[in-house]
Amino acid sequence: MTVARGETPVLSNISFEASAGEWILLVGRNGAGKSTLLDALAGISAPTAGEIAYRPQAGEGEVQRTYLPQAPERLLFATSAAEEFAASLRMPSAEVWRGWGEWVVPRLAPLGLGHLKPDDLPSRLSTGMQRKFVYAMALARPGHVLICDEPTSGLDAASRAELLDEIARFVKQGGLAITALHDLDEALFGATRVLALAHGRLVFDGTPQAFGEAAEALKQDGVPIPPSVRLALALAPTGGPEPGLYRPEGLATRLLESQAGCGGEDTAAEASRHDAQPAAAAPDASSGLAYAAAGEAAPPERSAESSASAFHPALRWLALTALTIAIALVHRPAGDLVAVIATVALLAALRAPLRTTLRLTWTWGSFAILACAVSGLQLGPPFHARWAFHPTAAKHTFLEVVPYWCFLQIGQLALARFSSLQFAALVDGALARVVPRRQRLVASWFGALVTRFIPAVEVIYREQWYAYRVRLQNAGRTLSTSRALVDVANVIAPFVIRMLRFGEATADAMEARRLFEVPPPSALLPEWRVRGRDLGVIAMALLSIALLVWTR
Amino acid sequence: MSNTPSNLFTQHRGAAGVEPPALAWRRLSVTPPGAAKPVLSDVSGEISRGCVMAFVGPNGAGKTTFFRALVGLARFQGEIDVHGKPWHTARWRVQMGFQPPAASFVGQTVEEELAVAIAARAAHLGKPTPDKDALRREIRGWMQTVGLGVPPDRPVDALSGGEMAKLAVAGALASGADILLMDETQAELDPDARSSMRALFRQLAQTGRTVLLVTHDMDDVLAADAVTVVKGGTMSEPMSPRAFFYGWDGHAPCDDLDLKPPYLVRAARHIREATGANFAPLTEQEFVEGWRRAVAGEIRDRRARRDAGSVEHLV
Repeated sequence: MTVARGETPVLSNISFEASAGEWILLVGRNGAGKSTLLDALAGISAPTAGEIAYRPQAGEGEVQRTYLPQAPERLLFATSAAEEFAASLRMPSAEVWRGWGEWVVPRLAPLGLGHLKPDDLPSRLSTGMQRKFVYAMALARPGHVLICDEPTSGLDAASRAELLDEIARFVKQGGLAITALHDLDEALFGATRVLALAHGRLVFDGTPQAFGEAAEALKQDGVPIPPSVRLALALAPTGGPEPGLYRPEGLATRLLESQAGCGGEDTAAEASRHDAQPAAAAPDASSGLAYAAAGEAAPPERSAESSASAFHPALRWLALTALTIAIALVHRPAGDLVAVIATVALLAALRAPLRTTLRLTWTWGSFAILACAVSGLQLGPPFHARWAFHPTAAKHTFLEVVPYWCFLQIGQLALARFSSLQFAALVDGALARVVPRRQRLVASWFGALVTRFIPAVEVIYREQWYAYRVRLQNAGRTLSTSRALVDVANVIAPFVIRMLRFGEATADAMEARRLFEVPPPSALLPEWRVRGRDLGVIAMALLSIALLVWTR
Repeated sequence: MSNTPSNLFTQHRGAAGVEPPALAWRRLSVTPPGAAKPVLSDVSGEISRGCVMAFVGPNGAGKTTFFRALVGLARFQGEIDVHGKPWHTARWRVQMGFQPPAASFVGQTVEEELAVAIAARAAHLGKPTPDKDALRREIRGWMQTVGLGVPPDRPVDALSGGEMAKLAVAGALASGADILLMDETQAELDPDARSSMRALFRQLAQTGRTVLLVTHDMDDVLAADAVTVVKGGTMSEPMSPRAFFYGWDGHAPCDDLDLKPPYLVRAARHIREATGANFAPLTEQEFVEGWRRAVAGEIRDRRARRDAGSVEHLV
């Protein structure tokens, strides 16, 4: 199996087989490809080459998978606890209400959520509690295969242990669990198999005991070694037991036993001490190296002066705004034509990214088709006497819609290449003589936040959409347009809640930093000299505006 | 985790008599907005300069509320001194790391974010913002201080979790703070990133900064200079991690809190129980050294069998 993102392969040539009753730990550094592998195993993304096949056991239907990605609190729909359970288990919520004390509370109680009532809103709990709730819900009916990405992250010690016990119980009952995990010390004793990934390749496949014994070699490969194994590794040269996997009491017993046997290994111990020191210094050294490498890759002269921001931002903004107003005022076919030509010319001149342009065009296109269809179609009985299509009405609507394409693209040009600090400094400068200091600073930082959070909103929205797909699949449903339309609240509501939480943290941080008392720094910004290119853009905008007015 | 130098807590305690503590709070009560009764009531304490102090305790005990009061996000009664000066005149020297860090960045790139922080410091001190070259130099300096090895024009949204955490620390330092409050900012990081943050805090403490951590990760506590237990609105006296994990008279504070000590401590405790030796390592190196000395001690013992009843002191 191979998975690629764009052109770069993230995982290459991974093969393994697993059967019921196994608990597989997936080990690897961040960026080694663990989450990518789990996404593919869960069926959320498709491998670029190879295949993933699940074979049901004799006498059973399809293999049911449950996937819990990182930050599983995203999976919540922002409804009541009973509704959440009902959606996951595909049963009427009345049934969940009835069985609350009987079978839901016993699921929640071990994770410290026994106090929840069916009409409580899980999305109002703290993040850790939300995670526990999602796990309790998933473990209520995990199916045959349970795939978890960092299940213990952000949980307190007691819940962590309880969760690992639950997974162990699921495996004992004949399930297959695949878990990516950083905190290995406990799980290694319950798991049956370890898969280690490094640089997108499978570098180890064996029992936890074998993983402990092979630790030295795996460390060289860049596989993270848990503290327990690391301690055994450090002790081995001083006459401790062979490197391997020991429970703390087991290690202690072995150390106490070996004490009598190996007396005169002072030299070996001395050597190991010297070994330990360079190892201790290693993280600093490596981060220093990384810094050096990055420094070479990006000489400071280059920064902040990328080709696009070399245009005078204020002039560009003024030109685009004037053009937008002109387009909005003209509703003629010829005017629309001029508007489209002017927009295309500006997109080319300001080097707008093609992907974004096409994506916006696609969004606009689907809207335009829908709008034209609605205005042109005559549906027939019972709405109309007979079925018909009125091309003139559709054409009229189309002409109405064309300017919106220009607005979308101009919006992209006006905002996307504006950095938040540029915007703040611009507002601050523009209002300098007109507005009192306090109000001016609030306005400029507000402008900075708006520009800063447009990309952040997009990231959160994409994550929420991904979470929705995972949740649907866990419930054994397939994604379809009609379902998405019905379920739109289940994507939007959690999205809005996450946005609000994000905004709250931002407000707190701004308050704690007292930023509203600080004028935005302008020293870093590129010098806003008016250059030939700027004049070209201005001229292009003015010409377009003149043409637009003329068509009127 | 295991790479920290020896425990500095006692050392700095000794020096505390000369200069005022970095942070001192007396009869502090905090009632967050919306709460009926105070979450922290009548607590007093202090932290000396250059100390890494971990705050542990169950959720809802008041750790976060304490931090929020220190940066002005919650009203409090009582007194807080920052480097011996009243809180309201020196509060800019205290900064807090927020979760998620991405939500606290105003600049769009690493460079812009740090420029904002530097401008904030200049504004609070009433000084002009440095010019372009000085600003660039200073930004590179702060990036080096925290070991953030990315191009300065990297957008903040493209940073990894560990890099964001480092940028947040760099921003706090650049804005003039030398007292950092980290409220579970490492919880979402992978072990490598977490241990590099621990090394960073250690290094900052050595250069005279003071770091306060709220954490559930016992490896963080292992690497701290001191631990304070926050429970039910009260705070314990600070204790060394050794006392916290190994305790005295067979009683360790970490067991009272139902916190599972790290693997290393659990293995060492078994050895303590079996031998009765004072074996209380906090790092891998201490564990191995203590063990090595035990082996050496054994040889000496065999040479001189007469003092068979002597008490062993392994560490």
